[in-house]
Amino acid sequence: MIEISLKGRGGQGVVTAGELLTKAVIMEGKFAQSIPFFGGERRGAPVSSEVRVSDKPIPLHRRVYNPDVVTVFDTTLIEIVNPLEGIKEDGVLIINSDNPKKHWKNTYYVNATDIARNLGLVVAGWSVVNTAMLGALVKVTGIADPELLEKAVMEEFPGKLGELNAKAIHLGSKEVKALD
Amino acid sequence: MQRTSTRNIVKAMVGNHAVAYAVMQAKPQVLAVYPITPQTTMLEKLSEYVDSGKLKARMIRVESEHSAMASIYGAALAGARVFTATASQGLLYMTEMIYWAGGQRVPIVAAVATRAIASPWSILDDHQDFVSKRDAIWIQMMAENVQEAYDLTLQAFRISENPNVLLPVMMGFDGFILTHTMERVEVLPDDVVDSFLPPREFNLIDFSDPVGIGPVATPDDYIFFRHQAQKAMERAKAVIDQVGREFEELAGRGYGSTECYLCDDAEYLVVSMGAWTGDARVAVDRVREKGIRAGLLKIRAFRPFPKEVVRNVVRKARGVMVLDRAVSYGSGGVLGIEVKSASYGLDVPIHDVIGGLGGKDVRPMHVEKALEDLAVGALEEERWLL
Repeated sequence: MIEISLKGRGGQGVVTAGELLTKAVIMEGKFAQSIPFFGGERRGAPVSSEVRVSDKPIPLHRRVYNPDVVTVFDTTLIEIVNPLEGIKEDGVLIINSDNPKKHWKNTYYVNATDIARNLGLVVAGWSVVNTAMLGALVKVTGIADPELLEKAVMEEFPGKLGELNAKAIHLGSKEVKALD
Repeated sequence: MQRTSTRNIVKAMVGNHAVAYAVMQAKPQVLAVYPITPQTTMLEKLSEYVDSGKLKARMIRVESEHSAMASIYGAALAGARVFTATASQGLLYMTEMIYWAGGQRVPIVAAVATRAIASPWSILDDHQDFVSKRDAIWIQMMAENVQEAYDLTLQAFRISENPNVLLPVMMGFDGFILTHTMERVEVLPDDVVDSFLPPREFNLIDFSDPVGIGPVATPDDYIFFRHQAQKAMERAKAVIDQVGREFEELAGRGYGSTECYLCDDAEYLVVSMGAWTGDARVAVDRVREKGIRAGLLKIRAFRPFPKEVVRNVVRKARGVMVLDRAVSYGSGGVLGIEVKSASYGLDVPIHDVIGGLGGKDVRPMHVEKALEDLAVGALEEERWLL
């Protein structure tokens, strides 16, 4: 079983990212669960979603304490909510940045904000970076089939919006890099 | 044993949408729902189904939960299949009409997205709202996961409308932990649901033979009706298990008022209800690896309480701990009270382990520690997981 923590801000599509990933894994015939954490969410406030992926049925409903993967949609959160708390020793950090600091030994980065902006995935001034981050996450971890992820996106957002988000997945996957 | 029917359709759904999907397939004619966190997204999905014509039902937009229950209570008396859903403060506000519906033994299905009760204010999960309706003459069942929430919603209509039962059914499922969590769900095709749940055949309103409903009762009549209700609850036990077996034939997933995990040789038993049951099962596995013979009894039907089953399982144990997400203040854990009552006269110590109130997360390690302490006689009579 792999546990993933998605951290971002209200408006970046954190909860939707968890659900899209879960849908893609379930389409593949495996088991997954996405658990959004609700506090006083509103645009800009820290938001998190947790995802479990497994080949077997998942009995747990507790929250995720020791993630295998931490995905940070907004680097400013690192100072505020310590998204790395509890990360497994061999865990992976994926961060939305074009020039990140080495916050963790296994750090990957992608400029998801630019990908979203260039595709026009902006709502009320907020770049909706979730699909670009999912592309990077799937590329780094291999936990879901990118084609099924694109299928899940097209089902959730039929038409032009789905196509743009599928493109964001593709670009996120292509542009993610390991930090030396 | 879980068999997968080839006719199941696999979906990924959050709990609220899974229940809404089951309701759509159950084809109620009248819905009346007032929004409240964490149930609101279920109401939104049901409204979409009604708007798109997928569910041909009248959605009554009410100004309160009290009116929601009053509306469907009336519609159910007129013969309609009906549904509502609520939580927490909404369930409390609905309470007067809940007792009316229970007392009249009207078939109704109500989903409760369980949530803590104020004060202090909390939108997160515990079972205090759900268990507060234990004396309202309602069958009460609780789901462990999103799959069960879907399955139990369909079964609830069958149980409620059974002529030997005729009692409203409340289907509880943990707020946020199930309502907002997306999981793999196997849904039945529409035609299979139609065969399991044909239209309700009942029409009370016969203008050639008018009757009065819910009038004032003399003491003799009142206690007679209440005795009838208690007898109906007793009959419902067999019906819950029978409907569960019929459902298993269709879906490949077994049901009934309880579920046992490694009970047969269990010396130390956990009793649990709701979403944390899976976490408790993981704890049982872990302490078994350490040589402690543990087992788990899941309570799916809280009313009628399956006391014969509970007694027979508790009888074989050396110690029992009851996980409770609700408290009768000044007494103890609410499920614990039930288990102790069912086990009257047995020489088995029964401990309350109270936690999860107001959304406080409980992890397998908490249950594991309590089981280890139980096995060495170090578990308090009442432990709070603070």
